[in-house]
Amino acid sequence: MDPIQGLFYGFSVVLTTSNIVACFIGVVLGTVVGVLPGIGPIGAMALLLPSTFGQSPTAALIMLAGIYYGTMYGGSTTSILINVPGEAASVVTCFDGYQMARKGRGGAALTVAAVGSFVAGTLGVVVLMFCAPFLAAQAIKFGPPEYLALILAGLILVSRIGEESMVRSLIMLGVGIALGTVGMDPGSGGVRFTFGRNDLAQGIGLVPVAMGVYGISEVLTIAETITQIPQRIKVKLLELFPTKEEWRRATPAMFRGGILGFLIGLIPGPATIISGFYSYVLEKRISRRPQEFGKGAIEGVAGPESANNGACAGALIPLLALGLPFGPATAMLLGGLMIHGVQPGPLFITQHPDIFWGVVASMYIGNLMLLVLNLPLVGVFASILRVPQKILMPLILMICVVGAFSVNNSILDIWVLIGMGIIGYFLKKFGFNMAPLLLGLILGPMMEEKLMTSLMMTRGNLWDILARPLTAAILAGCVAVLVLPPLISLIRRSWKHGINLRTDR
Amino acid sequence: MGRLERFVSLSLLAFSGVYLAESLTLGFGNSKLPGPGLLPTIVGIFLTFLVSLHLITDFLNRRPLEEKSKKRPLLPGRDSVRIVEMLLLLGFCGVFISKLGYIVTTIVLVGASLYFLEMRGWVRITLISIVTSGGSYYFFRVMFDIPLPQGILPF
Repeated sequence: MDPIQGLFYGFSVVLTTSNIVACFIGVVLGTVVGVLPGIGPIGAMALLLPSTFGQSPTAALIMLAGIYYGTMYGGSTTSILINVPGEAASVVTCFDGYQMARKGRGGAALTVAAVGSFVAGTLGVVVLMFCAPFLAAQAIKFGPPEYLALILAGLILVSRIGEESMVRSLIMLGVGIALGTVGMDPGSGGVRFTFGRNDLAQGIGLVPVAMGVYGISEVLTIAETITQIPQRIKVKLLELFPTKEEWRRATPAMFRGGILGFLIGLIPGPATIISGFYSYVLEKRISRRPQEFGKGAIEGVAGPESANNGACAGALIPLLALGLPFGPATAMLLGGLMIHGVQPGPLFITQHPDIFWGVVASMYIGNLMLLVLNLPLVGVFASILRVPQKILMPLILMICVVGAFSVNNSILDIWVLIGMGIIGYFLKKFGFNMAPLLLGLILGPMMEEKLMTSLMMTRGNLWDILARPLTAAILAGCVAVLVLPPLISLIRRSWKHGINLRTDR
Repeated sequence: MGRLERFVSLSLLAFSGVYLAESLTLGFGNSKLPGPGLLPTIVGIFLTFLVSLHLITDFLNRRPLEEKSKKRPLLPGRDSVRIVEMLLLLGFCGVFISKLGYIVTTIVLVGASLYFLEMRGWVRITLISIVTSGGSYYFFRVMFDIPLPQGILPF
């Protein structure tokens, strides 16, 4: 099926009542979650996984994907109107968005953010539509060693690219992989680390862990200091239209941000967050008026908002074409598919064309829905912030309990949820990021399986694994990313030191 | 490094130590036929090394003596009481949900957490907790047919 045929097929799948409703619920919930500070797309997807059990896998993925990209739209609203980012990807939008709102240009900032998100989201889906089937066709030729290299690269890069200390990220990655080894061993079929508990034999589930570290720990963090949401700046409908000059400045930034975000989305790591920062730096660097950045430059809103939506579409390519999630949000999407008995991988597009093309088509519709919803209803979404956190937090607790229990009907999962919530709360308090833990948990078992198969395939000859061209290229790239930055900074420092010594003489 | 942070790091070290010790009992197999302990041992060594490195670097970068000498509680202020209350509540939920069932436990969970989060007025708290618990039961159990712990109630 070529991409155009596929797209038409996708529209025929998505244009049914249940799928359209799933898409609508997903994007609305995504926007709401984006507006509310604290929950974030991963927590929201984890919380809403149980509600997808009664749906078809297509409707479930359409809804979860809607939450994922819908969050990016909602996050900008609070960043612009009250200087509080609804989720981490919208932090950069605060810099200039809030300053524009203070100058009475909040409406223009909101419109540019929504249109930029739409442009980048749609562009991203177009590229996804052409790239993913091509990459999947190539990936059929991949053997276990290539997959092993890809997973290793993903895990290492995730810990390298985050803003936190690399050691802390690697520790969390190790903890995640360790938790992933609990239960059945893929080689012998025996059980490990179960301490005599039969219910641990099937392993520690992604859903209770994700709900614990993102849901329960967030409730505990908020309970620690119940914050007051600042007064928002009000925007009237007529103020939503940017001026000609604002459009002229914002349009190229939207395209640049969209392309940059999409490319960053392909790299393992928290793509939606870092793409915004990179886009902001890029816009400031190439701007003729860099002094305006931080004081209300419209490019500072258009670029990052487009970038985080582009990154959303980009991050779906490794998931849908290779079956490898390179970020925590896509790990949740994978979890959602696996719960419905669907295993993504190179054969996913040929074996489940209804899900793949249905999701692609739903993203066109979802982006359009978001554009229509976000502009006239911006006031309604911003008013969600009036719901007291005192009411919201107990609700999250309750949904977490339902979600954790309902996957396996197991009380043990409730204990995992509570335990991971408490552990997550303390770890987050001291700067540990939970994303590598989640990725380690989901990619760890895959890595072990590929490692075992690779070793058996090559009769334990590691050189045979490393000598395969693609494996070698991926691992060399990975080593370069790890080694080059500290090496370059070391050379720079010693070079500067040399210059200082010469000038002292 | 504060007391609580040191406690967290030491707990991580204990976790990695126990994990490594357990991994070593599993058996590596050989390179042609790897055993169940191969990856866990590699991960255990890697984790123990990293947590030790983290502890050592944080110990070397510790605050000056005069700052350290000021005794501080593990979690300061009224907020810490709220956290402990919430933790106890979660523990209660874990222990009793299988015996009391979803509805009763979530009524207690929501009601108590509303109270701990400083909402006042018993009528309001009771109403919110009954409505949210009943509403969520209807949404998940009746509408989506998701199984929930039954407990003492017949449904």
